[in-house]
Amino acid sequence: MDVISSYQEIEPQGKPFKQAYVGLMLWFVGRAVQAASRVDPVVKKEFEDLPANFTFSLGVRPNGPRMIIGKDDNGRVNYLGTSTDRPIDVVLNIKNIEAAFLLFSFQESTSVSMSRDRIILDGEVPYGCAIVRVLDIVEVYLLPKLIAGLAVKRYPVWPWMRKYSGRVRVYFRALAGY
Amino acid sequence: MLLPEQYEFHCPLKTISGLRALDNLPVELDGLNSKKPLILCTQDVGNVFKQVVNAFKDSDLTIGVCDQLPTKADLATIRQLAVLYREKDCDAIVAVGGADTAKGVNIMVSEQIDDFKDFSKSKPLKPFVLVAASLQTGWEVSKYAQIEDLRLESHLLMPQLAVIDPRMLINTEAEPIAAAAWTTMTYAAEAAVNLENNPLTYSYAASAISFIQSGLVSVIENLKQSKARLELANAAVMAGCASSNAKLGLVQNLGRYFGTKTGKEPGLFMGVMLPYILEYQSSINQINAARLLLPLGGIDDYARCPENKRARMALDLLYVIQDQIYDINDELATTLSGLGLAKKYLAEAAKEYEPGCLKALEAAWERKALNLVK
Repeated sequence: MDVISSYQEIEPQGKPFKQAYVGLMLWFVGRAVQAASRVDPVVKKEFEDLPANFTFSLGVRPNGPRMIIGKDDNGRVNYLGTSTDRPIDVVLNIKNIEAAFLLFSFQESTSVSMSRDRIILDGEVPYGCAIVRVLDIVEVYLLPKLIAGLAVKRYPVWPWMRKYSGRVRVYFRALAGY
Repeated sequence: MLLPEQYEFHCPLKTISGLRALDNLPVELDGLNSKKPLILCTQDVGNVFKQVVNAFKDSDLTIGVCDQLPTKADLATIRQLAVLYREKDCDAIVAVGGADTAKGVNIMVSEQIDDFKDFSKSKPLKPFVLVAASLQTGWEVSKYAQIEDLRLESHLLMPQLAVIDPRMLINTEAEPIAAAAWTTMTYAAEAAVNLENNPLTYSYAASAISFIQSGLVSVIENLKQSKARLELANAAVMAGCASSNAKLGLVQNLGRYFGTKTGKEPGLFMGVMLPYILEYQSSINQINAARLLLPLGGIDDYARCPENKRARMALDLLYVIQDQIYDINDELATTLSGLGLAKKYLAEAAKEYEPGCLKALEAAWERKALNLVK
């Protein structure tokens, strides 16, 4: 077969199922982070230690789904959707949709994903670490122990009240969006 | 190892290895400012090539693909591909499997030339990425390219990125995988024992040797062993970097010579000859075979062995690997005669490259002990 006649040009076709799944997860995790910042004392403290109007985004390269979370003038943490005009202090970019799918289908924890260079951090590393700690706590609230054990570095031992009452409140607030 | 008074080591290569490594291709090409890469795949890669195309599915890159390249590079194909690259406005080359054709195209399109005699070796070439497939030897990432009878040599020919994904490393027959692994071992071993090498060359070579040592026997034992295949592919990349910073050794030259004469894979001859030729070279102080002991035997064997016995022990370990492979699969020859090489070629090859090695070649022809190193 002639080498040149085998030439073909292939346009990117996208991966709609994985895009939709990761988009949905980011939407819900974003709202859950907002909820957890009002329910969980540790998450609240993590955000208090970040600068005023601090904003971060977590998304998928090159044009994949994204979530943006920021503090307002009063220090309240809000889920800002998928785009914002505000300057973003820390951008966490997952390199591709497959890596994002591994992460959000809990085949890999956030820390493992980081260590395997699947996430690019653009911003201050200590702030990035704070975000990863917050995401770990939110995952413990959102997921049953069996799955959360895969998603976080170490499954924490929490008092009964913090875990179950917190979980109900985080779920309720995340669904209601406040 | 002593620090040389002066040395140079050149390695522009970034390596990404492991689970789903292929999916990083778009982001890495973006980092190389590429918007439309030309993907050149040799015929021997087979169906797994689809994995490379899939990696771009969710990117914002349009890719040009040629997946029917001959395994041996030829000038006519390279010229055609260079025209195609320019016509289609491509801006980077991704080689999947063999890389000689891709290296040739890269020279022509980067230097705007039509003949390799005009290759200036001074200007940077276009971004060049290698995706490792089964049967990598290390030649693909090295500074060499073999195009018909012409051997090109320049550090500019080394890729900027090598991607090793287990999904690309499919099962093959025992003989081709043994040939590829022995070729890699030869590159690494000859770089490691070279008296003029430097600490960085040795580091790459020694790592390659230890991965081949564990990977080769495992993969011959079980051809489906994906961990062993991954070890061999990584070793190939390391050996390619090491050999790009060392002289081409005698075993490589002899292997290619016998390969041309018989039409068989040169790696099979290299595998048979390696311990014999190294023993000969060690006996006349052309090389330091003792440097092979640490990567081949591990720290315990190395520490246990008196300094003046290290060369002997390292060579013995190479003979042991040959025996282990033969014990597992007796279709893999351990003699040059078993590979169908006529005895007359031994003298011809020795005359061409190193007359003194004839005795070692004769020993390798019938697997006779040399006992040149005590």
